[in-house]
Amino acid sequence: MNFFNFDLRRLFIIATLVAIPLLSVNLQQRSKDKPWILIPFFYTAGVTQNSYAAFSSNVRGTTDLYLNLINIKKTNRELTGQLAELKAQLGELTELKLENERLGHLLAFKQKTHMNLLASRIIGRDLLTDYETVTIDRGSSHGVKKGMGTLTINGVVGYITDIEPNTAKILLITDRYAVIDGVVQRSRARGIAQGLTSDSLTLSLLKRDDDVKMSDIIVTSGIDNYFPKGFPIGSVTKIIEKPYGLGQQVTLQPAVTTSDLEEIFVVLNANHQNFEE
Amino acid sequence: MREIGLLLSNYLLFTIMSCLLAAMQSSLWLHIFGFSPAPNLWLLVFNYWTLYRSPAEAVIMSYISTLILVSMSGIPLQMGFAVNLSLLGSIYMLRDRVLWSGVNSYILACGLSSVLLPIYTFVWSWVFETPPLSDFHLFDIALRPLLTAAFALPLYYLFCFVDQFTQKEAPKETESELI
Repeated sequence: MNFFNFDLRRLFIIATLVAIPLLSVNLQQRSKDKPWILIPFFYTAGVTQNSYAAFSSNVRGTTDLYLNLINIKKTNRELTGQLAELKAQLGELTELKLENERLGHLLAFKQKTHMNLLASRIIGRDLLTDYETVTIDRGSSHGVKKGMGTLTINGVVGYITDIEPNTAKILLITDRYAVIDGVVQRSRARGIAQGLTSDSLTLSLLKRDDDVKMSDIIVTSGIDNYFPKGFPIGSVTKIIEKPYGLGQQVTLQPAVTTSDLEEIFVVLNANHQNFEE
Repeated sequence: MREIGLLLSNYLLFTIMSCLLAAMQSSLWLHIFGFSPAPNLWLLVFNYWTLYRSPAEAVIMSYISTLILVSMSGIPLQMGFAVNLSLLGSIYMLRDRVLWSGVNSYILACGLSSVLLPIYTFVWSWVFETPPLSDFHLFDIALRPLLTAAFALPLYYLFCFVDQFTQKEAPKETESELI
């Protein structure tokens, strides 16, 4: 056997195996810093751990989310139901609030005036578009009589034309058949307010030299005591003075919008109340 | 005797339905949809009788419909009669000339009578009323026939059921063509 005849590869491996622990111990003794050789391993370990942690967290999160979805859906259904219920309640409350405000105004008006008024609610409308009548929930058993005036706090509504024991039909001021004695508030010129279309009136029988201007307020004359004196009928929106003839053509906008009426007063007795005093 | 009882109950049921439908249009629609255009529900029984009953029965129903109409409207009685008899004549012409299957001709008649109603009201207003009508509610005229026709479909089957229930001859579902 030749002394120098040895396997270099095996020798290198053995030397390396011996040297690594020695080097390691030596390096630990020399410095507290992280050995440079370990830096990539630490880095790789950190990245790997982080990745695994993130993956694990994501998987757990996704699983939890999936599991929670069932509960979320259930909760969502419950909340949607509750929301719909609350919305309905809110709608009802808003409606009640508005009704309360309207009734509050009506009550305040009734208390302030010394007219004998009967509050009533509109329960029906005309079957045909071309006629302007409404039905109220008060009739002869409540003291309502034919010809009695009806009004809201804003102005004249119309008057009673037909009566049943518990209902009455009102001819609205905008109907072509409705006529009410009116006075121009500013100049005291007199005329007859008559329905023209569903949202306009005409003031007829005015003399040619009667003083009427745009935006003049036309009020009730109160002569018949069916309406109080000086209560608004409408305001002037158009004046046509023809080159010939005795009168002038005046168009009014009614003080009350007849298409959104809900509660009105029947004037049982106007007691000659004058709103111009 | 039983036949007379059934006939009278048929007449009574249709009169009650006519009243209920008119009240539904006047009151229920108002409370749900306010003053928006309503279907002419009061016309539905009248049209059904005009199409599927004898002329005498149709005229009787036109009178009943007029009385119901006048009780829930401001229209004068003579105007109501004139308008409804005009509608009766028009639908009768349709009945003699357009031979569709039952429900189709009924829906057509209801839509047509809703279109004709304001026209006849306008025309007769110039004969009977002072002052006469001076404007058309075009939106109303356009919408009401559609709504009326939509309600005609389910009510046709209700009316047929009432006819069967009271053993009155119900309309025949025959396929035909426009003449």
